[in-house]
Amino acid sequence: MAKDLTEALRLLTGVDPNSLTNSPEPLKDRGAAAKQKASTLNTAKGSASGIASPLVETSYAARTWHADTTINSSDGIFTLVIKPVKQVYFKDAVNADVEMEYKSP
Amino acid sequence: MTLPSKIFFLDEVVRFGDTCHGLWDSTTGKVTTAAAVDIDLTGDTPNSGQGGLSTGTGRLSEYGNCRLLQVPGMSAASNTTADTTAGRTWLNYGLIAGGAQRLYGKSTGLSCIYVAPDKSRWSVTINGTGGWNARVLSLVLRRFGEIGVAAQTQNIALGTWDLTVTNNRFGNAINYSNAATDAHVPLFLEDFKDNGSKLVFSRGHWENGKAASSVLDDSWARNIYSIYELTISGQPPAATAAFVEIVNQAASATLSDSVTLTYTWWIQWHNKPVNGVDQGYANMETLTTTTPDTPYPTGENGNLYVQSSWYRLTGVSQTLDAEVVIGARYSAAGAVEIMKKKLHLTTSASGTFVATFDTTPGPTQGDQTTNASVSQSQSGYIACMAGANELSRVSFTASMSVTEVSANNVWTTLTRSETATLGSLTASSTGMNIDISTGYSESEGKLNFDWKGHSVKAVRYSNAVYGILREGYYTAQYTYNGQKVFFRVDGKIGADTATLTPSTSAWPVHCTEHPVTGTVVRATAPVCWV
Repeated sequence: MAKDLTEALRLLTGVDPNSLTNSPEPLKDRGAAAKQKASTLNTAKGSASGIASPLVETSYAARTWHADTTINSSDGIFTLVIKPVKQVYFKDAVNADVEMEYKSP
Repeated sequence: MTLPSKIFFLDEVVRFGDTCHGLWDSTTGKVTTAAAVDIDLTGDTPNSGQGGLSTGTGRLSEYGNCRLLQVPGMSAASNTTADTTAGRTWLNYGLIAGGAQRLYGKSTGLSCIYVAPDKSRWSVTINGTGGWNARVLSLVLRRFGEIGVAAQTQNIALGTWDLTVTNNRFGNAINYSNAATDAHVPLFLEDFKDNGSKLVFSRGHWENGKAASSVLDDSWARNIYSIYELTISGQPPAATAAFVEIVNQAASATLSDSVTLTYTWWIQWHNKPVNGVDQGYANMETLTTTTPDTPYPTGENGNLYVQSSWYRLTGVSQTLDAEVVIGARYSAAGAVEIMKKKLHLTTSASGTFVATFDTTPGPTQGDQTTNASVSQSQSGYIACMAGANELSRVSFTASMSVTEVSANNVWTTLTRSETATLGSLTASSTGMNIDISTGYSESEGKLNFDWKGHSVKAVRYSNAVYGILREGYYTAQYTYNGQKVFFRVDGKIGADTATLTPSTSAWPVHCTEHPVTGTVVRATAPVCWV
């Protein structure tokens, strides 16, 4: 079955599949590479990539909230009505946007 | 309640509420928890302010008041070992303590907290304007205890009422007292139901300058004219309320029954001889009286040769039952209970009185020989009543007998003796005038049974606790003046059946009942469950 598939690919493309991984890409000209943006999770200690501390909240007013919830004192006499936070927006040290999202309690 | 100044959204509130609960003792200032841990009282003492009503006279209420504030559906609260060790007690209900309506360590001064059908809480305040003879009352409900909710208020008119308080005597059931020192209390909060939907008030006067005192002493008394009930229903801001007079002591035939007994005054005389001529003698006569004070019949002064008299209860026996209101409270089941004291009295009298006179002309004409043997007795009880239910009673019996022999105008033998048992007191005497009538106490009305200065009365100690005490004067048994004996007291749930006898001449007693556990505590200094 694997051999049949390889032969079928060769007939369709005119390229030998076994030669693809062994063919080096031609070198680009020096200084011709364009600037590109990229991001990645900061999973490695000491990595200089990812979110740069400190995070600074951009605006309190920009927060979003879940629906109100209440907390009662054990005797039921007093009630706190609170609005749980949902989203908070930050800028990191290199002025990159960072957004935190919280679940409803 | 104290909340942290900052609440971080990543924190989680595990539990909050008032954890300072236990028995507050004014002598130490401490609160002893159920686990016997002594902690400091948080906030105000239970009687640090004035209680209850903006429309009243601001009289301080009793230290031992403790009322339950129950919000339905609250889960049972548990306490960890750390809580117990630290003296924290979590409860799923509130306690409103003392005359100042202490809640969460604060003297609220509110009448109560109304728990609406949706479980929202509303503070209850009664306002009044205008003269006391036409007082315009209104109820103010204000949203309570919800942080983060917009303020809401509802005003409800309660009508115009004549709440004047005078020193009027109501028949013979309530006594007149001292106008100069009495405190007139146009509206006094007696108690309220657990959810604040019903409140009972009284109108009357508090005797002998006790307006600003919570100390129960030998002149403490409260004479009540009327009981009112305020009922709140529905959901604010569309709640409704009704203010109704449910007892009018003056208008009640039962409650204002006279307890005066009728006596027959037995008297005899023989007129003096005039110029050696006998003026004859009178037959023994009787006068029926309820105020046996007049010593001689009009017109007979100066002509009496011999005389003898005494009082004897009319008829063979008399029985009476009379009641007066001393307060009101709500039972644990939430029913209003009109608190009363009741006097039950049975009297009987028997005996003979025989007088003979020498009618032979001569020096001895008119001389009298009297033989009398008369006895009479009384028995009965003073009871503390919750509605028609008797909570406790102190029984008494008293009896007297007279043996009297005189001859030749000389009283040769006069023996009068009496014995009485009054609660724990038994005493007897001889050679004294006989007066085992119902009492004329100025402190609690005629329904006290007085005997030789000892009065038995039913009294109110707090919103929940009522009981019977006896106060009296020097006796061989209790050797100082003004001594009191405190009999059983009954709360809404619990009771203290002990009889307490004082060890000093002044011993005010304070009571408090826990509205959930029913534990009743009595002490010589203010105590209160908080």
